[in-house]
Amino acid sequence: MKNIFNKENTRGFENKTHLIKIISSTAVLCIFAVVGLLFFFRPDYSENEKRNLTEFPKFTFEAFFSGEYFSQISLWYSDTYPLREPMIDANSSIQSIYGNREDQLIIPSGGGDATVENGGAVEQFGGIWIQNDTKTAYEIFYNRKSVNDRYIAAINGAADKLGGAHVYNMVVPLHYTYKLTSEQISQVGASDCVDVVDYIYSGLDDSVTAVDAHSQLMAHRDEYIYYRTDHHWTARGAYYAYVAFCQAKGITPTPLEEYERVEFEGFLGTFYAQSNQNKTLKDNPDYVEAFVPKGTNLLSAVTQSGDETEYAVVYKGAGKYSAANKYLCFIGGDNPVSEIHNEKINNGSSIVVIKESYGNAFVPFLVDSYEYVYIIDYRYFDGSLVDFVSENKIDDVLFLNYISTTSTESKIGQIEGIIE
Amino acid sequence: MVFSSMFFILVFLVLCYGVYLLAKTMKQKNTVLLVSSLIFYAWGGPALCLLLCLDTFICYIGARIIDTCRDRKSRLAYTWVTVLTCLAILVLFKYTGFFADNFISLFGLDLTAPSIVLPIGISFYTFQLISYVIDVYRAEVKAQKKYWMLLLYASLFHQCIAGPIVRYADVERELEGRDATLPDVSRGFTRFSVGLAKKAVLANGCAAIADTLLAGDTLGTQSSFGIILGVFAYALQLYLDFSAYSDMAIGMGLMVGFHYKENFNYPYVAHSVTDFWRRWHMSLSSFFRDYVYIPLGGNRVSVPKHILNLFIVWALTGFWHGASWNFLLWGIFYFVFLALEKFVLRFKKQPTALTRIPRTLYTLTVVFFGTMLFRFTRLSDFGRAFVGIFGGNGNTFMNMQAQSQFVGNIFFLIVCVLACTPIVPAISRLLEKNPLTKKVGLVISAAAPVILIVLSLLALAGDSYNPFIYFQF
Repeated sequence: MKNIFNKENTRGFENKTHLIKIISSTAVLCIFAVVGLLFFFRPDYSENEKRNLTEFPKFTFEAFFSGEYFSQISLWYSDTYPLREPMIDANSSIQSIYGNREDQLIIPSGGGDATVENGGAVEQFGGIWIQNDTKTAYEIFYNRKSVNDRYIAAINGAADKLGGAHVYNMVVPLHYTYKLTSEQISQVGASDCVDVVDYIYSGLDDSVTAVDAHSQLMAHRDEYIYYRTDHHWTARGAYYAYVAFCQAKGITPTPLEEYERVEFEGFLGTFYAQSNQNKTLKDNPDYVEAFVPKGTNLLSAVTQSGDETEYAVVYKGAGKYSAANKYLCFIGGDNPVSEIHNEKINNGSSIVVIKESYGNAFVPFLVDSYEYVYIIDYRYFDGSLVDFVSENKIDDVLFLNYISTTSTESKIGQIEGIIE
Repeated sequence: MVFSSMFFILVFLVLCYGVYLLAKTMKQKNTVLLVSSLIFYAWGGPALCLLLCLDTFICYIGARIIDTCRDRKSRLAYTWVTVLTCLAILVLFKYTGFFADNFISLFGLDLTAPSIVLPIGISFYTFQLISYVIDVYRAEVKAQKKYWMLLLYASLFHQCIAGPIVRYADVERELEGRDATLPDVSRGFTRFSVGLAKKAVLANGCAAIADTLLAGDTLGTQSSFGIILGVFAYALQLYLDFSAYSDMAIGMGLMVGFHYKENFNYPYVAHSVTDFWRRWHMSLSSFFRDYVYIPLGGNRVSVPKHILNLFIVWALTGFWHGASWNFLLWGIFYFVFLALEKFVLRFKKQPTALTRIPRTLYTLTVVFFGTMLFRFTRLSDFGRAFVGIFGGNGNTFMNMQAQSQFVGNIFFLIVCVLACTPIVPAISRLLEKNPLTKKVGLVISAAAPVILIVLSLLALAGDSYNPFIYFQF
């Protein structure tokens, strides 16, 4: 390699360009390599993707000999590379010139359901459809009837075992039910959520009261009831489901105007990460609207790590949360067990909501209807629901799931797990 | 380790060539290359590295013995022993599972086939070593006296795991001593960055399209256009991916003074299937030509024997690509068209202006269906895709998904298609005609590697997290 720098060889324009090329390419590689060495700046959590990044592997002889140890090092290196997020962002901008990306349908390859780790829990997606003109990403749901049956059996089984309490069940349809035409829905091959809800409700025993959230949501379909960049419903959508719940129970809902309303700008939810940071979504973020309960705004929870902590039912300071995390303003996120005691009500009434993350935006509205609201996230709770209900002398049990759950075996397995 | 990973580019390559620059003597330089090649290989499993060393050792000893033998018969005998031992190791690791599976299902046995880890690159380095042993037998090269030099040849990280299949004769001299001239190093950077971008930006993008459209569980309902576009994207991916590895290997070789032969010559502009195979994975075709086809008698035999020879070569070529029926069928599929062209169609070697386009279209059609055979390891999937192209699954011609993939990637696909044609060399030849435009060309070529490297790194940054495969259980 020495003769690269020979004076003879560097003469002439051609040789100059050779030299410039070699030096500039080497410099670029070295700069990126040095950035890679700045291990102090290596992140360990991605807020965009809501997951812990790959950790540096622990050495074991087994992993060493199989090569697993080394492939983990390679993965760790690129997963926690200091400039990773801005680089992905830049790449996403480049990809926007690949073609006319009006609409984008992202369906998992390889046949399995797509999953994203959401603070530890696995959410599953059939697919995502990003519609450019409405700047909205829709979760696409493919129903599996045999799994519906397992869900029905699980809820009926729970009602059997919880004989003393009144069991309610609510299955929430997806956003596209209220926004897309039936042609569009069949074009992407998605299932009709309303058919699925009807099928499930018709299979429930008489001891279970089905809550018709759909009719209420349908009546308010033009309002901001689902996020455009996230797979959850908004607090407003959850409110209309609460109205449906009150109808089913025969109580009067609190009018929406009576709540203190807070708003957090700049929310980029799960679809944003799922679509590898889609530019249309990035340019058109959601806002998070929340309604503060009147009776109390205090909640005590046992966290996933087992600590007892107090949270706000609706955290008014969530504006400072990162763009990806604003949905965490509701009930402190996903905790195994939480309790809200509304001291303004003294009738001993109580409910436990068995929920996944859709329940988070819903629970705050129950606070003013019960003295005690308990919340169990069945994905993290490892106790027995039957014991929990009898120990706390609970009146009402509400199972609240969004429709994808009823086709996801792993989640139904978790529901079965707490009612064994 | 794979070339298209940030760790390889930013840690391994930078460190390896950084240390290489510090090495003064050829022996030091070779030591740096050998040690780094072994680390590179061991990255995929240190235990399998021992197999590479063992294979090399067998061929090292075999070749030394052949070299010292005087009489032809014992030379031949030792060659057979060495080559068959290497092949036995290859078969053991690559094909045991396949044979066991078929044996079990043929006789309906209640057994599970053993699962043996396929050592990466074993198909490539075994063939390199076999070519070395046979060349020693043919007295085309001298047996290497130093084991570690032969190990350097077999394990050199440029080509060890994904080709090209470099002949010992081609690098014999450069292993002992080589010079990296300024134009060589410069060309090396260009080739490397072109290969990297072809892989990280183009091939990976095509893979995303193909995987979306050809997902196994939705294949039965995929629209005709969706399947065609999916296979088209997969064909682009195959070429761009595979030739990218060769580009990077050739480029990294040039940076330190190795000159490897070309492995691809724009196969998708071929004017016949015969021509296609003169342009696709040339180092493999020439291996089979020199070590199987010609020793069998090649074309200097009766027509039936000639056809049989072709059949053997193509069945082996197919089977070399993977231990699965579809690869065998894929090889035989090409045998049929090659035999047709030789014995029935009797194409002229060069097309005329009139036949050029029809012949290319015919070739691309054959390659299209060949690509389908290559893609689907399950023949039932191939069947569904094949029927689906003609609407036989009750599927529509077009659906949303196919349309959104097509419209959303149209410019990207055009760039990929252009990357499969010799348009860049044509433009640079045009620029060279005039001294001024030649300078423009040189400036562009000086800037290109930096741009391509940055684009590739950006594309690779998101690779560690694919929402759809990351947490699939």
